[in-house]
Amino acid sequence: MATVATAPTGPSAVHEKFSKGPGLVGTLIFVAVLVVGISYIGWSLSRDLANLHVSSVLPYFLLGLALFVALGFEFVNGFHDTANAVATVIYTHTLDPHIAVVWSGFFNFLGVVTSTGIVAFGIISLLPVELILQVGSNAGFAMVFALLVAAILWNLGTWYFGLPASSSHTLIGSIIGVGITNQLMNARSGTSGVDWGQAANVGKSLLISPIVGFICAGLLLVTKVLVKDKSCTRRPKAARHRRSGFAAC
Amino acid sequence: MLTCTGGSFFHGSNDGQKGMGLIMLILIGTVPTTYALNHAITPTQTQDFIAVSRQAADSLNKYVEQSAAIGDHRDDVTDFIRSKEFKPNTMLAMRTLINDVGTEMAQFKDLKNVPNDQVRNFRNDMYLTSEALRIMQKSGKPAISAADAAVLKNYKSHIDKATRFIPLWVKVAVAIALGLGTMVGWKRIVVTVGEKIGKNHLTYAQGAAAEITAMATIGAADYFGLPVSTTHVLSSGVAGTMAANRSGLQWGTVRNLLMAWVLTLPVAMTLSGFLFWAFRKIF
Repeated sequence: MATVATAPTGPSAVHEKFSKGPGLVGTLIFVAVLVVGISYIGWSLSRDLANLHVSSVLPYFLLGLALFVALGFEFVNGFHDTANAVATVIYTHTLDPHIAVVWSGFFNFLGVVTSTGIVAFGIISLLPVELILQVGSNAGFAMVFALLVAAILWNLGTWYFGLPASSSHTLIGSIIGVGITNQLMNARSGTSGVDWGQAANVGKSLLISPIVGFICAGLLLVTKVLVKDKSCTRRPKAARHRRSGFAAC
Repeated sequence: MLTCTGGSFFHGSNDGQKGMGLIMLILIGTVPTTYALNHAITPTQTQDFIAVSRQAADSLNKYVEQSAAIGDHRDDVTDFIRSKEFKPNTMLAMRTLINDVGTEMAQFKDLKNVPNDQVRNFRNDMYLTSEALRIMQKSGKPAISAADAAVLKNYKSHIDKATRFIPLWVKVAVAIALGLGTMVGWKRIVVTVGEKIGKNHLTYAQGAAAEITAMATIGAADYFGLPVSTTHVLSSGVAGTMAANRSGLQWGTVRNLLMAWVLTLPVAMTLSGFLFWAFRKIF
């Protein structure tokens, strides 16, 4: 592939890589992971539930539905957050997009599996306590589904427009929404079911994060001074080590 | 590349947990007999639990006020958690609750033996105790001596071990969902971050600077307890490097980004509030 007719610039090379599907091997890995994962989950679930004797099918149906929605939330979450982590690597041509995504996905996996669950239960303690105590009731299910569906909708919406929004904020917003509505529907005065401290935290982070991010400008200037080599701050050339059509820019 | 690895790892360990918490809630709601209590706790550990629980009740006993009236202890503790206002009754109710949990545990001997119809109540009592202890510790009210605080902390860790656990398969399921989500939907976000924030595309130095800042911020945020969002830091980091490089910013995109960030909270609140109301009416 030494036909170098034009000299494609960095971005178009990136786009070429984007449009180049994941390939046969990639698809196979994808499917394999999916199959292994689902069978492991199914096996564990059936083992856990084996000694359980429930007369009706309804709990199983609800369980399946709820699990599906919850995993759907994580799925959409993955659209957003990991994408942030790989964006810079891809545009600087450090890694091929597909490798970068799989790489990042793998480490995400490790991160999740090794996590302790402290944050998980921290999220739960933000919810109205009376709903936690009766989580098996209709109100409990209404709460869980309302949370998940609201979060999925907003995450999907922002993703569609390509806006990197924070899914933590989305979830906290949903929790507060459920808290307030629960308060209103029970006609209890005040907003004690809502953790306003968390809302304030989100507000603060909206102020702090962009400012902290802009400190980057300073960091970049420092590297510019330290690294005299101008090529570093120029637009990166398409990966030179790849002997492909767009190697010659 | 290292920063990307680290970012994915930390992000996964942090973000995946949101889903896990909710999944556990669902599991506890639908099949409490299996998931409400940690069946991996051994009978020896339950013996431990009973001993620690006695210590905790003794410690709390020192702080029970004379004026406290005996009410429904569950209601009292629930009220405390909801309002976070410490009342004279709270401590008495807490002591009763801890005693109850300890006595029941002594009866069952093993968490697997808890009868099906009592699992939920038993778990709820433990949950209430743990939450109430957490709030007391956080607010510093009432003032508790260091020795007693240590006893209570130890007790709380025992309770949490029995109720706050996540089966491996849940973690695996969440991890797979997250990973597959990334592989399917990463393009849109990546294009925005890489191309649409600045007028030029990212350079090596910019990418590195933005990533390093994002990483450093996660670390610093943990250390100082600052509320920051990695997403926001990274995006504005990219914008910052663009500004410093004088490449110019695409204000349309930046405006959309800011709009989305500010709108996230109110929109999510309204949506979930409405859905909750609708679901409550339907069910």
